[in-house]
Amino acid sequence: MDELEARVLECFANVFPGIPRERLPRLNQAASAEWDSVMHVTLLAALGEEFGFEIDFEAAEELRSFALVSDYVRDHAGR
Amino acid sequence: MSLKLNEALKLAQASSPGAAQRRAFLACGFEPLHLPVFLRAHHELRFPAQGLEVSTGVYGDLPGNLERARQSPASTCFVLIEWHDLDPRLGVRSTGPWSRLRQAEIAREVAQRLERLRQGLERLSGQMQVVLAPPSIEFGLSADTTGWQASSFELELQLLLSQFLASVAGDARRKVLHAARLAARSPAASRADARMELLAGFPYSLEHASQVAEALVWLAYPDPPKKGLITDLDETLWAGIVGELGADGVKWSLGDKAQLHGLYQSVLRQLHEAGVLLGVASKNDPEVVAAALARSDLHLDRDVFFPVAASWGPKSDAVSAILRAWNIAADAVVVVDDSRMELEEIRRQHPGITCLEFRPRDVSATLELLGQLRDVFGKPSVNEEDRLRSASIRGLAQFEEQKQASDLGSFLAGLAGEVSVQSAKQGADGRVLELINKTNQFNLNGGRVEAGAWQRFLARDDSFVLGVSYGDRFGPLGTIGVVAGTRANGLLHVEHWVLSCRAFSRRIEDHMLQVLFEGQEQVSLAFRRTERNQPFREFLARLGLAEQQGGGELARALVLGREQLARVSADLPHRVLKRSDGVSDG
Repeated sequence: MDELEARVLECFANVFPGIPRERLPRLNQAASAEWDSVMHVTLLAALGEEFGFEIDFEAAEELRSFALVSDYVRDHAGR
Repeated sequence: MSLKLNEALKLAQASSPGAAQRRAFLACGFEPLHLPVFLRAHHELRFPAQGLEVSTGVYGDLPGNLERARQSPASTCFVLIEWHDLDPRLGVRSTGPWSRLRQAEIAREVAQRLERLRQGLERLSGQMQVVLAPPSIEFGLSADTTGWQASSFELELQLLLSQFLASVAGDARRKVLHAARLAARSPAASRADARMELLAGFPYSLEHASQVAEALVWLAYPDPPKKGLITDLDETLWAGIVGELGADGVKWSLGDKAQLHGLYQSVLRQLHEAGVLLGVASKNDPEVVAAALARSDLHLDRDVFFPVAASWGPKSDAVSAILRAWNIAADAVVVVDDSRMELEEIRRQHPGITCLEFRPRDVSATLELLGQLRDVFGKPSVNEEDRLRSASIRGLAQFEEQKQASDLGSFLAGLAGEVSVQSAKQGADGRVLELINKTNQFNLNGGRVEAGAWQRFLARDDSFVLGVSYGDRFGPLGTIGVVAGTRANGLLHVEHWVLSCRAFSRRIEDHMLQVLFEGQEQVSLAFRRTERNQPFREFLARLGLAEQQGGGELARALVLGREQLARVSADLPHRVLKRSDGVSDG
């Protein structure tokens, strides 16, 4: 896990404190009761704050797993 | 301080559920989203040993959420109103229409909804503390004028809102967040997050959400107000050195370029009227000080200062003497002085005291100081006892002087004292809760009760609350004692018992015990030893409950029988007036 993924993981850990940290890298929304629409918005806000950019509405719909979120952040961070 | 969302999430996690949790309900018409997290985080920062549980209601139904709060076990309700709660056309999730023809209709709708909210808040505040944040997001799309020009329509809506807020704030159980203080922390231009509102129905930027949450937590759970202020004189109460210039040479007027001292005097007068004790600690000759304080153009009467400690000894000694006269602890007192060195000397000798520097040549710093005084002494309402306090402190000094000079029994019998006992179950008397929350010495267990929890306690069928007031030839002391608890299975369980330090040495507590035993064979006390409740432990010792039996343990229920009452009920010195049927009055 590189530094960027570690920061993404930290955001996930903040938003989903009830999920063991080691499970977070494999987390996806379909298989997680905690990851509802409200927590999704909170996650986007936490990521936006951490990385300093806003995630657009359409992309937000697609970001349904830790892996997809990490890829999106890697593509957009520092642009 | 503004928290980042990630910081707030971490702090909110640290606030783990437990028995010491406070319960609050967040009532708003928008999606609360991060707001509960920020509320819990700011609460965690201020009260790390006590969690905050926040329940929320239903999107788009603020009046219904007030009712849901009423049905909840919460003791505090945070109410956040935004303009779209007053008419959906006043928010970005609606497309109006906002035509001129509709403005009167919108204003009528706003007036009706405010009235409905007012009624809902009235019902809610009968059960819990209400803390209300007025609309903080301006909606600027509905007027015909340019953005620089306020339209009559917008001003009419503001007027309706102001009238509503004034009505809400008229009851001490309801607190309204001060818009100007919020604006100083969260500028209007950076409050809204329209993108988030359109995406998720949450109208606030993260920074604004954090600032609102911090303000609401401060408002709901304030620090106890300080009780006394000790002021320096030269270059503080007035400009100049009175020992050099003489009584007529010191200044405090605008014309003499000493207006900041005049403002300070006016603030002190206001504090005095609100019941704050004022004392003087000055390095001067007493006669010189007396002459200056006697000047008729002073903005406060010289009698408001008691004691006036003018001498050439260390300031900390003067502060010690004043604290003894007031019989209050250093942490309830603020000292204002222009000398950092003096303040440091006082701080070293009186840890816990609040020392504020008066900087007469720095206008901003002085105005900030005056604002600080409002913050540390402010309270939701001023009651009759606040107005009596200063005079009764003077009476206390005379009382102590005469008590020393005579036999205690005959002295007390000659006081012509009257103890009035009345049921205080209706809850309108803020003094009763104030006493419970600020009394340290004669205090059964040191327990504090927040306003909302008190409302719930009063609403219980099995609870009782007795307020005790007292007066004698030294003057009225007002309400100085409270006993509160519950009745169950023929036994009284006393959960709170406090007596103001101004009322010590008069055997008022003995009278209170006798009232508790009316129609009772046993009374149970939820005693807890605290660092400062030595006077209550001395009372227990007089009842025959020695320290090792009760006080040695941290907390213990003590059951008193008539044998304990008999130890203190002989020759009670005062006349007792009951304005209710005591404990059984309910």
